[in-house]
Amino acid sequence: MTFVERRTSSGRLERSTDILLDVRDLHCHFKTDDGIVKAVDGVTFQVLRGESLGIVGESGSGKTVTNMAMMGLVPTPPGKVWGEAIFDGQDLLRLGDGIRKIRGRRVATIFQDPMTSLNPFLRIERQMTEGLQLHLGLSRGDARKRAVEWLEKVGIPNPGKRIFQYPHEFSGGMRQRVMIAMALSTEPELLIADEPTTALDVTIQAQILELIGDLQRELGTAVIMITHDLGVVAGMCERVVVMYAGRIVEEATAPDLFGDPAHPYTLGLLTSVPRLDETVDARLIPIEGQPPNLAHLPEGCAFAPRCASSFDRCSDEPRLEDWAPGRRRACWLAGKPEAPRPVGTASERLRGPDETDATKPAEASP
Amino acid sequence: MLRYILRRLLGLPVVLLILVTITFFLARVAPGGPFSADKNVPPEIKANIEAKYHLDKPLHVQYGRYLRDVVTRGDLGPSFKHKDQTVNEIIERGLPVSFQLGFLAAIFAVTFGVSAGVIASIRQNSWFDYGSMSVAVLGMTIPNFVVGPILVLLFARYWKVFNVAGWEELKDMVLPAITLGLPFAARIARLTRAGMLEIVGQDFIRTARAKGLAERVVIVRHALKGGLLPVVSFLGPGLSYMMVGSLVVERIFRIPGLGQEFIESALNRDYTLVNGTVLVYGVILVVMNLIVDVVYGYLDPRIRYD
Repeated sequence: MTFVERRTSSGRLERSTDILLDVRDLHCHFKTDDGIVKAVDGVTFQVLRGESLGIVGESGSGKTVTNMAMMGLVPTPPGKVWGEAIFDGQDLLRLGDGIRKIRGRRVATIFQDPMTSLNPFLRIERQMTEGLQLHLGLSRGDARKRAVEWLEKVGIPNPGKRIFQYPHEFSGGMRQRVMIAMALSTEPELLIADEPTTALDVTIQAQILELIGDLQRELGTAVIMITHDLGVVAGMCERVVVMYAGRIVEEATAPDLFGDPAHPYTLGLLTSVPRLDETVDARLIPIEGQPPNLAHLPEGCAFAPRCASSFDRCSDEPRLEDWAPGRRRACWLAGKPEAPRPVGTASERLRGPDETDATKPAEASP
Repeated sequence: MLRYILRRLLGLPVVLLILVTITFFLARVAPGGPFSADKNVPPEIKANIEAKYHLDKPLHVQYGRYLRDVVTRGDLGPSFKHKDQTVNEIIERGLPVSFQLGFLAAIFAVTFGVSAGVIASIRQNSWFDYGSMSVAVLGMTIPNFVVGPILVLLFARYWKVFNVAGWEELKDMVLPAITLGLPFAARIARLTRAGMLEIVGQDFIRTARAKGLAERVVIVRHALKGGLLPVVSFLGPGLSYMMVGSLVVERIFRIPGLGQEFIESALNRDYTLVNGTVLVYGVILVVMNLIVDVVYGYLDPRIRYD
């Protein structure tokens, strides 16, 4: 219930009161032999309590680095991080070692590949209890009890026995469930899910997403869902931030973004996704070209070289500005970008005929 | 686990039989013999001596006889060169000394090697990293017949902390142990550093950090086990080598160990002693490798024993 209220309050008006994480002008540059790689270059966004925010973009667009930089997980050097990331009144970037009290306690992270994200040398028990002991001050025994409860909650059969096994004795989907249990067992306020389903089979993906969604509603946890899979965003997130070449190019609510994309890149992403009700020989429209080299970004808009709508103004860098109520974009176009060819609305393209999940939270509102 | 160890131990005799056979015949193939260096020995006396040691019999008879003595009585035979001494006596006298020295050298090598490697990996590209790794390269490349005398000069002659040589008091073991252990410490340091750097770059270390664990816990609990695997593999042959003794170190410090017998028996064509020392080395090597495999399995739960 609280979740729904928070969700409906996600309009601009009530933002100021309910902001959990306020990222302002975050940068993360890496010094390399090839020059300075601007992996994250001035990113600003907010996460409200209890909401789920999607961050989408291609590989190398800076989605993961944004979150790692925020949590102090980028090694410096070679990385250099500046800007602000204010979590519940504290700037994470200025906490120094004190960020460890927030990492894993108030902000938890699930990583992409559960095969490599769990320590193969330690039992699940040790890996789960260490966080609980550290952050909640539980004894090993109490921590273990709680860990078993959580394993049960995420659907691990026979958790009392399996907790003493090693990661290699679990399947990929089960490992990701363990990761989720591990991340949520300290009941964090924010969960960063970094491509949590990318390494999993499609059938398992749906289960894992459903599990994250259910637990999010139950605990009222805010979620940052980092993904390149627009379907995941459509099913899980209320608001979406689209990243390209280390910057945010568009921000909107999920229905707005999918129904009415405002940035040519977003439109390109949507038209390059297959639709379930299309005939097999229907052609996808890919975004031409390659993502830019982050060490040698083009002048002006980084997307311009691949953009069908680019014009002379694009040699200046567009700023991320309010475009419509609750929406921001970084583009010089006066109106909306043109679709590469007449097709159904992007929203239809993406969801196909049997979409169900995306509208569920809205239906649940009182 | 126990079954695995038993099975490996059952394989030990087979390995040793092959080892003894090859050594036995290789030694005989080498030109010369135990008494060929003795000058001006009348042929009758030479024949007498050879008869005493059964060298006049055909080779396969000698081999059969040797094998029978070793297997049934554990008798490695008389030494051809050390008068009135059996090979068993020589080994019983030298091996404990070599073990003591090797054990100390191993402790030195592991302690210094692992800590230097871990610190170097944590502070990658720092002055400690460059410094310790340069010292490690030196430690590996400078032969111990140079390191030993330098240590003696500094610590025994100049500062007079230790005795120049000898094997009487406990502190006599320090310089030889360092001399023997230094190249191993260097090797272990480099292996540890490389192993740790590889592990620290893994995703699960990022997970551990994301949990808010202190860096010390991340390193000790999450990284060390995996990072030390290459070191453990190296310790099998490494420890065996240290345990069985070193000619050079024993010579420099006048230590009555087994290492010198290794080389001298071969040079003297002291057939029985060659066989005996090789056999001892073989047993140590097999046992060490078994221990290493067991430890490896303990460190890495993905390894199965079947």
